[in-house]
Amino acid sequence: MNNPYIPYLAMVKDIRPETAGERPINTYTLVFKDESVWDVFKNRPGQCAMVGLLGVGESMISICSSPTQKGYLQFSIMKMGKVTSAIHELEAGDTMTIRGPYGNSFPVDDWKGKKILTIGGGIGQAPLRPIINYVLDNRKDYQSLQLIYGARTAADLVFLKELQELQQANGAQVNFSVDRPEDGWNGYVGFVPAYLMDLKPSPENTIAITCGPPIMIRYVIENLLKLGFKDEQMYTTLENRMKCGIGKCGKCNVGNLYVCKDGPVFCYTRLKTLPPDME
Amino acid sequence: MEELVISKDSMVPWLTELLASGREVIGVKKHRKRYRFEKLEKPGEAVLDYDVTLQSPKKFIFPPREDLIAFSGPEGKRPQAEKTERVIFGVHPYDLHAISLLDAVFNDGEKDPYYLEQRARTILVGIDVSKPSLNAFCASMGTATVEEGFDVMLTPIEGAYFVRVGSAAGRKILPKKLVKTPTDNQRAQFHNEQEKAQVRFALNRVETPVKELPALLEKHQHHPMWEELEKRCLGCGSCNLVCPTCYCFDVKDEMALDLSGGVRYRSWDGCLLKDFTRVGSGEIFRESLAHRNRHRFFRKGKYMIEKYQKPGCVGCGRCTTHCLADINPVEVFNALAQKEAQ
Repeated sequence: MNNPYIPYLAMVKDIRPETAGERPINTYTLVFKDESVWDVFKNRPGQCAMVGLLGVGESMISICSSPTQKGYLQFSIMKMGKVTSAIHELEAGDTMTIRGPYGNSFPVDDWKGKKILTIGGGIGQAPLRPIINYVLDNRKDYQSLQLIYGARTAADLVFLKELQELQQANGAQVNFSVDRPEDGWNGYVGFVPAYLMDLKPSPENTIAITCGPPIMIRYVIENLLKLGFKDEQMYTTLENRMKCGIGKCGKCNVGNLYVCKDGPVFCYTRLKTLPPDME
Repeated sequence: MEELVISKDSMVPWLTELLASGREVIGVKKHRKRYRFEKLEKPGEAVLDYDVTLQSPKKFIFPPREDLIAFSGPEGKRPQAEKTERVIFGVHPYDLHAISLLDAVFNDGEKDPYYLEQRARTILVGIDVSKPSLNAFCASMGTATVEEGFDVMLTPIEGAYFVRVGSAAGRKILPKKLVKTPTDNQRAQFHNEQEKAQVRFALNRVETPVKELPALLEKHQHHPMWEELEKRCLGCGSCNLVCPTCYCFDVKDEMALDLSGGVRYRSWDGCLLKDFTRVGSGEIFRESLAHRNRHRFFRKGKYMIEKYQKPGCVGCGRCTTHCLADINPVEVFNALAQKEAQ
């Protein structure tokens, strides 16, 4: 019998610092030690994986690279608890463990021909990155790409350099915001939901995907509804405590669904039917 | 299903035979005033007319702590699993129903090899209840008797047990020379006992039929009952600890003292405990005891039924017995239904 709890081994190929401070974020590029793992590890945009270290533990982290980026996986990890702090001690060449990929994914194929709008806050931009990269790598399949992305300060914006490059090339519209005014910042100042109302993207033929702190997600959805977006045009991706990744340990159970297995991606039509556990 | 009888006097010889066969034999032993499932050393130790055990036999198939991975270098391996055949003797119908639910859970989607291998080496000998426990309400949960999910099922009748054989493995462990074909009278006694089982637990009743519980709960997500439970519940998790259908678990890593290696293990967890949903950032997804209680009852009365078409609560009454705040599923479900009636 296949043992879903035994992880694959991966090597840290590259570590890219994204933000500094007390809770720094690094993007880790991992390659499987055994290349044949790719025959079974087929990730789709929006899926997660259990990454960890034997002797420390595992954390469920969204895969922030797109399946169009072949031969490696990327994870943007904030130094937060026990496992992520241990991961932040690693150097290139070190070994990590991976299980997955887990969960459902963004229905990027169903979105062909549509305008894609991502609305992210803080580290919540990480689960949106595979959509952006997927759309860019299949640019002719999608009508347009717009990003609204905010963080507390400019230094807290992840993927800043690649998103700035995106703005210049590829015909994507990128809108950054920071919560409070700061020196040298020419962009929008304020919270993401307010910026959304300022920009007023048209709901016509558009899919909006949002990820960030729960409070931000709530107001973004409220504002999207005001702008005329329908339930089926809005998606988000959730987190919760997870231990197994396969719908057994019960930790991420919300309603009769498991975030690890039935999520993490939820269309608002389904999201609004979940019980109000996270009030 | 094959039907037989075995005399009450044949139980000790049968257990003697099982113990001599090299199998691990688990039975119910008396421990001061209470009963618990334990490994049998002598055939005479087994109690067959107990009311309820402290823990269900779940603890043998899904142990409170179980090593998932052992490691001494970068690579982890599964520790050697025990393969000896094991007989659990004298399991009540509600506990058999609970094991059927666990089977469904651990077989669903990605299979759990640890549980399923423990389960595969386990032979279940069930027994109908002769002395109901004070807090049991299994008749109203449809779990006072059982039609499947056993290898052998015993029903006490006059001077004997009526035997139903549920599997080939069950037939194999029967003492060939001690079982007989039942008489018509014994068959009639058996059917009579099955009907009496429903009445035996009539003292405590959940008034809403099991298949209507999901709709009842759905309607009462915001019932004041949840806030009331918040005031009473201590969040101690005793209900989770003694529940035969609770299977949520935590996973932790533990290093050897000399740091040469370690293990990753899983251990029982409980949704009433505050840390159950605590994540690295410190956020707790179900912070309030109202939400944690609601989650517990929704899992037992709604999610499990919707997902597996089996009740998530089998009415054993253990949680009621052990709750320090007198929270009782019968009262909770009936209070919701009462609001309904008004």
